[in-house]
Amino acid sequence: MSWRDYDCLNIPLKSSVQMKNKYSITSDILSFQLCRRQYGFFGVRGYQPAHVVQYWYGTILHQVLDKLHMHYQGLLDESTVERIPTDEEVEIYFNAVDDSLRARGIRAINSSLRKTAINVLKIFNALEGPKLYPNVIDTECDLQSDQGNYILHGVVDLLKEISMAKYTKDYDKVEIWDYKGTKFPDLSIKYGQEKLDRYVFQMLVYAELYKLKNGKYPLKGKLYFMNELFGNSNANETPPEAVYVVEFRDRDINEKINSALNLFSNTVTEIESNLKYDRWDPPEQQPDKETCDICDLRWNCSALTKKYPMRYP
Amino acid sequence: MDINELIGIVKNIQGYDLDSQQEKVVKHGKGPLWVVAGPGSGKTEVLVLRTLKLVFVDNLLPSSIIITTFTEKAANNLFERILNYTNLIFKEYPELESKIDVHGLKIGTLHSLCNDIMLENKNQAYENYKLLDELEQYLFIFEHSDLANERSSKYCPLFEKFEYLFSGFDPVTNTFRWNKERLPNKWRRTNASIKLFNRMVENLIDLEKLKDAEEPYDLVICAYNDYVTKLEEHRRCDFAHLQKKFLEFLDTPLGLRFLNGDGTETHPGVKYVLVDEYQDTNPIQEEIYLKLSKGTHNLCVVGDDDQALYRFRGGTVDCMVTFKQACVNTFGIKPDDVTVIFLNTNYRSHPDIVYYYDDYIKSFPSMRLEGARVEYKPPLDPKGKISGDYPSVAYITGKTINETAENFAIFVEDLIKNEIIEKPSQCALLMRSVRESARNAGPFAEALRNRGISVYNPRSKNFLEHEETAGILGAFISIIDPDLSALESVGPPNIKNMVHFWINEYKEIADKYPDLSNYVNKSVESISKIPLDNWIKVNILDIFYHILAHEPFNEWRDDVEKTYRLGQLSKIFETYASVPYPGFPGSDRGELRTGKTEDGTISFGWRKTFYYALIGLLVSAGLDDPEIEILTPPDHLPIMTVHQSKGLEFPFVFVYGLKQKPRLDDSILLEDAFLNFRKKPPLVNFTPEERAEQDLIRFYYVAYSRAQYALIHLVPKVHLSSGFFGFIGKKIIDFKEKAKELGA
Repeated sequence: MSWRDYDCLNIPLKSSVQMKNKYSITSDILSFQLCRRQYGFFGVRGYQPAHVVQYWYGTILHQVLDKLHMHYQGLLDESTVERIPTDEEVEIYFNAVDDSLRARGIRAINSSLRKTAINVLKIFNALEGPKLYPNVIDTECDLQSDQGNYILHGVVDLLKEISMAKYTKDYDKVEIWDYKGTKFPDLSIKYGQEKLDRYVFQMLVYAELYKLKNGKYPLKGKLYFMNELFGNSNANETPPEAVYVVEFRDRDINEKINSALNLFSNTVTEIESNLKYDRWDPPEQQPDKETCDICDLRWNCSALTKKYPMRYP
Repeated sequence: MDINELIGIVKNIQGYDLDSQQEKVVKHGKGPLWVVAGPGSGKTEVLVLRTLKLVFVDNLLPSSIIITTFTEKAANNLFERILNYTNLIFKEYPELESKIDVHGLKIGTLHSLCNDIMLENKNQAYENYKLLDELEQYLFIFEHSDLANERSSKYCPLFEKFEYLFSGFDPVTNTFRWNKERLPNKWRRTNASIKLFNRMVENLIDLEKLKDAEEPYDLVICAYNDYVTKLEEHRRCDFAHLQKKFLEFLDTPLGLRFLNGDGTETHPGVKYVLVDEYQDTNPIQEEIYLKLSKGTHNLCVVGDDDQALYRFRGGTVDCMVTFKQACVNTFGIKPDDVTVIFLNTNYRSHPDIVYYYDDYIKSFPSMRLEGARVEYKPPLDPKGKISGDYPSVAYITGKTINETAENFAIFVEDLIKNEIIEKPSQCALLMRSVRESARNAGPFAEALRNRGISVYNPRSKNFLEHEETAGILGAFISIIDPDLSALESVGPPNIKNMVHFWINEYKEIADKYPDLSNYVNKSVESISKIPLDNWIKVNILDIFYHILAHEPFNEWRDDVEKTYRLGQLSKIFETYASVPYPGFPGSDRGELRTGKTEDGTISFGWRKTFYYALIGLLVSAGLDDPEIEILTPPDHLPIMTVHQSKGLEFPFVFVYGLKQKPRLDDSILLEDAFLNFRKKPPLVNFTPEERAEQDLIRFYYVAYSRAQYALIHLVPKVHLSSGFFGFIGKKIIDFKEKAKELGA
């Protein structure tokens, strides 16, 4: 007996089913737009960065803000329900989060950054807390949508109810918030404008994701630049640079959102064509300095016009 | 939508009806549901449809449904299928699209769900914990755990009691047994600690009961408490404790809000729990599932006791076999309130293969003992599309393993040449160990490659021997330990040999690439100028990336295979860097410092620990290549362990290794050692010998049931004797009668 015993068989190859990939607006789309090579190495091929930059600041802001909301809702301790945290309480929450981050090796680069973070949080709490906390609908909302060949994914920092707004049949009385642990971008330089454009793009995609889940668009998107609060002389008023509002109740909203979605899906197409051959060549144009400065591939990258000098231990 | 509409839609899409048993599962209403699903019975499809029924017919909020699977891959697959059906349903019912968001379904492995749910619900007791993977847990225990580090004879009674964990070949003394003068080595103690601690958590051991037990269980508690204290101090959590934390979370106010809901859509509570591959559940997982559904009793488990494979992860088949009793005990209901459905129609394999493995499992007396299998299990009923009069169960033999391998390769080549199959990926070779050594996968892989057939074997454990991994490690060590003085102080020859191999690889490369050797030499020079006891301005990953920037690594980092290994190595470096120093939470081992006494070198202690902890582990455990492909590349023939093949199917399945005897391995002995200390006493009792035998029988059952068209054993002539467990009823006569010999 041999293979001839099986001559009656002719077994076709089963075509493999391509599974849909999930693309997140920040960690995939925006990262890829910044630099496809960096994205390919650190987002796809599993390379680990040598230094986790800015991680502490963003994390502590988000986590303490979360605690402040929970404090107001009485979720951490029932007795604090409907009470705005005091400065001392902000500090207690801050220290608890900082301790836990430190135990994991995530810490402020220096003590002044730590002071900045505490101050920013205290100012935010006093300034925005009374209006914000009672109206928080949800925090860190995971939104997803099936776009046919891929799944679109985003996490909205916060949903706030605008109770005073008039009822409209096309919009939910809701604001979507995104906290940025930075100052408002400097629009006098090209990169600053690009940065703001990316943030707006992000909000437009969130608005669409929100609508797909809830049936209507939210009224507004708010980008909150937390570092504008620091050094603010008038503690009773939100500095104008701290908040950038994206109005979704806008005649051209459909057009704007469509173009954001097109950008999203074009980027996905680009990512997938790179994925297919697993090729992540350096971009033709050099990315902005901020992107390259933190990149571990910078010691030898053909996208650079000026090389980084090799460092020795 | 009513249920018949849903079933109609499915029929339109699939082109066939559900069988009556499958339909019962989909239609089942409330209360515990126990689905005993044989191989190839369409259980995943049934889980998909049952989920759709809950969402579209019962109108449950998707976010109130939990579905767990055994791997992330299986979870993605399941969700994909749900999504595809959902889109087709929306085409017929467009008004549902804005009302139903299936993305809300909680689908994943139990581990990933525990993690996500605790983060989502802001469980304060899990905030900012670093979840340790296997490698991280190893390194953490190696450095921190008292049981791995204590130098006195304090733990000798524990070593004695758990002898099977602590004895083993010691390359330094060349012996197997430890003694009071020479305690078990640190690697062995680390591995033993992992097994001991994980098992205590996974099997829900009651520490109170242990306290009252005789010596050395007091030492077990002492070692365990020390480990837990250190985990907490450094805010680390291993996979076993992740589940423990989740169980505890369910009793907190936030946990109760998650479990019972608060009337809002954001927190709808848990209404239904569906579990796939339930046969590999361990007691703490069983407890989680029962707790999640205690209020609703809506727990549906699907699995096949005959396919249980994961005792070494704390799995006990008993959870599957005794599901009914567990529901009765926990929910306080009557046995009849638990609905049992058998999916025994097999759609996968040629009927003769189905009869073969069905007969096989029933042919052993140990499988007929009460509690070994789910009671009243009906025989499998083949109703697949594959038929034909050809030897669907056969064997290939040869005088030696090499000749057998040769005959196997010729056979595969013929199958392709004669267009019986299109691609090598339509075959799979399954075996216990896929290491490419002479007694395992080596001869088979070589025979295939000699005939131009590529092999896909990501778990071959030779990760560290490729030119790019060896070369970069060699370059790295040439920088941090240029005169190898720290290496010379290391005892075990296997570490030394491996490091010398890497250094030689690096030197060969460096000869051809002067820029690289220039960088390495300049780095050594630079370190030599740094004063005593000073920080060095780059960390170990910085050094890694600087090496990577030089040829040939620069080119290799864009090579499709090499780049994934280099990426994996960066992950290993990152992991090592993240292990804190004992007593210094938050410290970073990736930062380098010069020595306190010796000029111009990296701290001797750092280098020595690097060799002992990291390299020692890599060398002794062996590392697998990263598994890049979700599916085998079509031009490759996969060589896999039976565990890897779980859930898969192949037209031609080749199985090597019939000459196995049941082994009383440590997972069985450990289970036995803690049997009397569980929070819930086990409902089934077998001797370790019986469990070992049953496990081996199930192991082959899984292998055999992967085959669609042909199941072919690879048996060297010397193995063709009675008494081993890959054969029906251990009898060679029965085997030869059922399986036909294939000539070359």
